[in-house]
Amino acid sequence: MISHGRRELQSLADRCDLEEDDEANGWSVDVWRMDEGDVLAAIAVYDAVLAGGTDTDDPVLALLRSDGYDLDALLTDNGSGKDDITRSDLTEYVAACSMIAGEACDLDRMHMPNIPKMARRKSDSGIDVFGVSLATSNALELDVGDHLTIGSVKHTIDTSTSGMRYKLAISLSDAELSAPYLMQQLRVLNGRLLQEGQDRGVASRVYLFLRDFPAEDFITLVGVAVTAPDLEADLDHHVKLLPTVSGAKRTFRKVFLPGLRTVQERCT
Amino acid sequence: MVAPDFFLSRRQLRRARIQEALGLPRQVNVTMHRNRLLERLVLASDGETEQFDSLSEDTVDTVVSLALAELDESAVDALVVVLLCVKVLAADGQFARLALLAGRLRSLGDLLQVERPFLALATRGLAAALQGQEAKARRLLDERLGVAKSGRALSAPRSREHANDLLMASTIRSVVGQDEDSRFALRAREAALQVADGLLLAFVDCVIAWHDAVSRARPATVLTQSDMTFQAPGLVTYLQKLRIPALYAPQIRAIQGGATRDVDLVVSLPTSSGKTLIAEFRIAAALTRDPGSKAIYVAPYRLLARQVERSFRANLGSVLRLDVQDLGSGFDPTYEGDTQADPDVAICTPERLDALLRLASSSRPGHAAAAALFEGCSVLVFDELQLIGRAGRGPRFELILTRLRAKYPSIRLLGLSAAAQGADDVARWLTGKPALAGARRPTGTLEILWETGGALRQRVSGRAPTTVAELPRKAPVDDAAMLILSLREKYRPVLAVEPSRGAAEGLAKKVMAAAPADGATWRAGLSSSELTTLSTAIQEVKALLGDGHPLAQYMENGIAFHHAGVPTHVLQQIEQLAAARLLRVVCATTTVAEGADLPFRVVVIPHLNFPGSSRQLERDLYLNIIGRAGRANVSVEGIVFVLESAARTLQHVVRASLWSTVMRDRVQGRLTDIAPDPQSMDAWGAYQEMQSQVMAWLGDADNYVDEQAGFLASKTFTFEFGTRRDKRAVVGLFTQALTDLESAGYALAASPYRLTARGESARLTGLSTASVARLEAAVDRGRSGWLQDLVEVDRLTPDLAIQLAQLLFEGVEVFEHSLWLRRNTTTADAKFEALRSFAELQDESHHKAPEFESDVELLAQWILGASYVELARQAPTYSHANSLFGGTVEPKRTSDATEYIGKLTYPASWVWSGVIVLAGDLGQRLPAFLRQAIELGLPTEAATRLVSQGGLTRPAAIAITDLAGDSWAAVRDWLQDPPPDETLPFQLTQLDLARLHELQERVQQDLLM
Repeated sequence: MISHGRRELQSLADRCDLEEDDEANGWSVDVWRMDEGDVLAAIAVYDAVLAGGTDTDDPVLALLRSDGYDLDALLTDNGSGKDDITRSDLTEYVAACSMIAGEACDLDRMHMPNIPKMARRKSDSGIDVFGVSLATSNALELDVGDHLTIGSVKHTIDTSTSGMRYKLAISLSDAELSAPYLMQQLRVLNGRLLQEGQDRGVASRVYLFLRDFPAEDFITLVGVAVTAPDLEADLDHHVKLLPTVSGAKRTFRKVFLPGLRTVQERCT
Repeated sequence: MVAPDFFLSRRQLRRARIQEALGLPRQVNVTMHRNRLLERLVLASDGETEQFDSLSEDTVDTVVSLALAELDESAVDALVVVLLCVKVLAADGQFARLALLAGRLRSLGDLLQVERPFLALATRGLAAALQGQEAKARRLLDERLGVAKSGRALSAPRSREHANDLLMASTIRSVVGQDEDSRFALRAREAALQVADGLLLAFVDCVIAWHDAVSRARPATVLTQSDMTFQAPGLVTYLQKLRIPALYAPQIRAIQGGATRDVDLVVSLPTSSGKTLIAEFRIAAALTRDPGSKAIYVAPYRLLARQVERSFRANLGSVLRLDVQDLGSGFDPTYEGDTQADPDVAICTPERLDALLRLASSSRPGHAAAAALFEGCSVLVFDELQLIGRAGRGPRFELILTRLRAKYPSIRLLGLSAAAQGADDVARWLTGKPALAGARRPTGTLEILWETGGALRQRVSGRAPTTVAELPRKAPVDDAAMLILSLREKYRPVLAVEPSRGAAEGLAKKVMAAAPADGATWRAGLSSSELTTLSTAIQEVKALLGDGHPLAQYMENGIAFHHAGVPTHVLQQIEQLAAARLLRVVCATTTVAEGADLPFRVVVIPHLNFPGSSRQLERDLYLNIIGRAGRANVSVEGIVFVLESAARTLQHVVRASLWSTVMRDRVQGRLTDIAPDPQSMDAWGAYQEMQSQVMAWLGDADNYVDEQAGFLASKTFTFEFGTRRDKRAVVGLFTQALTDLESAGYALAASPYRLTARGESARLTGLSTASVARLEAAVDRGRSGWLQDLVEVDRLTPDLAIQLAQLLFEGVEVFEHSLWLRRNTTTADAKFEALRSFAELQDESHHKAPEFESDVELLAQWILGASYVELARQAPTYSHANSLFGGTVEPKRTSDATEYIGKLTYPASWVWSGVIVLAGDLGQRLPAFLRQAIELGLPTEAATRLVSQGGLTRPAAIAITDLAGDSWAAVRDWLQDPPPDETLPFQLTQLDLARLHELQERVQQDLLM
């Protein structure tokens, strides 16, 4: 559940203007060309959700400190890492907003397991955004109303988008979205739903998404590639090289964010 | 969307495991089926259980299948699956399975060592905790996390991922060792949800579930809550020293049901559930509540008795300072003189218990001590109680218990029974209430039938068997050998259970011959210390059986056979090697199959034609046999392969009986099996045994009632739970027995029956009346001659040994194993007729026969100390190579000698005990060592003491007494100041040297008189 900056998130989602593009190898492709207003809205999201966040807010680090561990080595900033993390966090929020707009995800039912990263590098890869809706059925089968949207987000400030496209495709592949990996993510989702007061029976429905994953009618996979507008042609080229897929709906989303290389400097 | 077929996936994963065990190519899409079952796992992991052992069989099967499925995937993916399996099993109190998953966790930890050192550490810490090694886990975590001053700490976490991993290590550390507090773990769980780390969440959930379960299952917690006695200081110390981290669910249920309190109770537990530990707790509590009282543990098998004695000595002996003694296994109506002191805890077989019961209500020396044992007994534990329903010994057990309850009603009884066999009726008979039962076996079993057509079919509960593979069949013994050799290394040692000694030895030989090079390959994989252990054991086997004995050669190749014809010392070596997994296969009769706790993962049953009235493997024996596969601490599940028989009478045994789902398992009394007019050897033996029990009852007192047959019958299990017809049959049987006793002069029909003086003596012998009649005459013949010469001897001369052997063959129980009977009768009917003629003193022609002369000579030579090789050389040679002593091949003949002597020594020593009784005053003056001389094959008093008290082997004992003297006094003096080992004029095995040194210490400390 995203608890902070909800108004800003919804505002950015409302601004999201997705254009459909040509399908590529079984992938639906769309694009969001952000303007300066969108960027300002994205920065507002970042500031609202993460500004002022410190390591002391991190429950893991807090717990370790309380257990007597000296985490100075961990807390030592490693050069350009902080810039990269800030950009990553910001682009993941941008992607989440695009999924509210594009996949009709409900902000109240979205989960972003990889943020806040704050000042520390987190090597965890995989799913960045979950959007889930659950039917109220008691039957232990996926039903109308059950849907899981999985978003994976990558950004690049390199001169080529090749690596980003490759990583995105991999991150949504069967190998990366292995059943055990998905299972552990769904357990977290289930735990959070229960924390939010969701009925145990309904919360357990998240596990039905494991069935024949990714089930065509109940799962949408979204790869969000964020880069600066000057790489649009390069990205268009690489989209054509996406691996051929079938089954569940897969969307490749191109997001062009002006000033991506320095956007972190504008965040609080 | 159609719901997945979870049953199919479980079945396929089991199929894959069986294929893997047999080294067959994998024909199952393990990844697909594993992934499909994750939904069931994750749902189970979120389930809330209040009680242990409440998971459905399907869920347990799912979890086990998932935990054992090894895929080509990332270590983290594999780890998260295993962690959730651990969580589910922990919440259900499945500690045996958890301990076995520790190895899987540890190997995953190894894979993660470089990339994620803190995760590897956390995983290893959890693995150690699951194995009950919490202190070790704590030490490891303290050292590697830098909490302890010593040790190599890991460097600080360098990434956020490492920080989460560190939190896992920190979480497991917080619940092992001293702290035992789950608050930190609960906070870690909150953090895991907040940072959305699924692996961290799974790990922490797993730790919380395990910690919660283990806290509820600690012996001290369970016992003190159920029985205040365990708050006594002595027992608090005992529990502290007991290295058992958690009790299994069946044990907890038994304790909560009153197993340790002073009540009569039958506990019906699955095999491998730790029944012995429950008995130990009961004894500890009973003897603490009533200091100075005694406990008796009745174990129906010698191997089981040995295991129980070892186990009790370790805790009851060393911690509670209770004197634990094995009173022996044979029928021996003596008590004082064969033990050093009055034990606190006496371990014996039902036959020995019977002898003591008879002694206690007699006027013979030792009766007061025997009576004191029973009168002071606060608890009697009867193990394997379900054997009451077994043909053969069942009626004996039933009548012994009938007499015990009548004579000593104040003794509280704890009956232990295998759960699968329906002991409720027996429990009601003994305690007035059903057995305390329930709870699943701590580990599982896969049962496979290898059909004659080649299909390997797996038993599936509630459904038709499913095919797991196809392998062509040939002959059962060839197939069994091939199967055993096909099994992968981790499935060894394999136990193959055969119906006879010959079949067990034959299979060992076949395994050896089928792949002679495999032995060298196997040995090459052993460590130097393992090779030393193996060669030390083989050295002992050679010393006992001769260098050329095939068993020694087999053992060098990791193969052994185990049956009652093998000397005890050799059996012990085989058991120890099997326990250390230093054998590939043990081919055994039911000696190992019933009650033994050895690390077999696979059991193979090549033949179904087991001895007994039905001539087939009975369901209750089958259930006991399969209980040997995959015991707790061995593997999460065992595998049993049954080879279908092509014989018309046996081809339906598996599905119609062994795997039957309609058959209700219920222990039933077997007295109705006994025919009042026996027409076969088995039936005759059963009738004689029953008659002996009736005679024993007549002398037990408190039976001066009208209608004695009806009265005694009404106390039996068969009667109480039988049909009207059964009741009539039992009354009729006892009426017949009483009439026969009267007509033979053992009882007097004096309204009611009473024993005559002759009957009083006969009763104490425990022998058949036929034996008693023959022995009485023989004793009379020797009374003024050679028997007088025995008085005060401490060494048997050849002449006396011959006389002794002749006397022993007067017992029907000995004679029935004679060469003469084997060679002179070819059919079962002819054997029975010959035996009946012998029993009724109608035919004495055997005395002049050369085979009988050989019988006497061989038994005499055995008693004089001849080795098995020497006996084999002295035995006659018969032309039929497969017959006993057929052919000239020395190893085969040596094996024949062990089998021949093995069958004689038990009844012969029993007969000798009878002779002592029948000889009256003279019997009292005969040397006490003679019983052991016959049983152990030793000619001197000193040698019997060296074996029985020092544990030395027979050759070593003979060599030492040849040097030191025949009397124990002489040997004791020699042990006070023995010569250096290197100057001994004979060579002892390393094991014997160690035993000798231990004996010297005990003698020098005056611990042995």
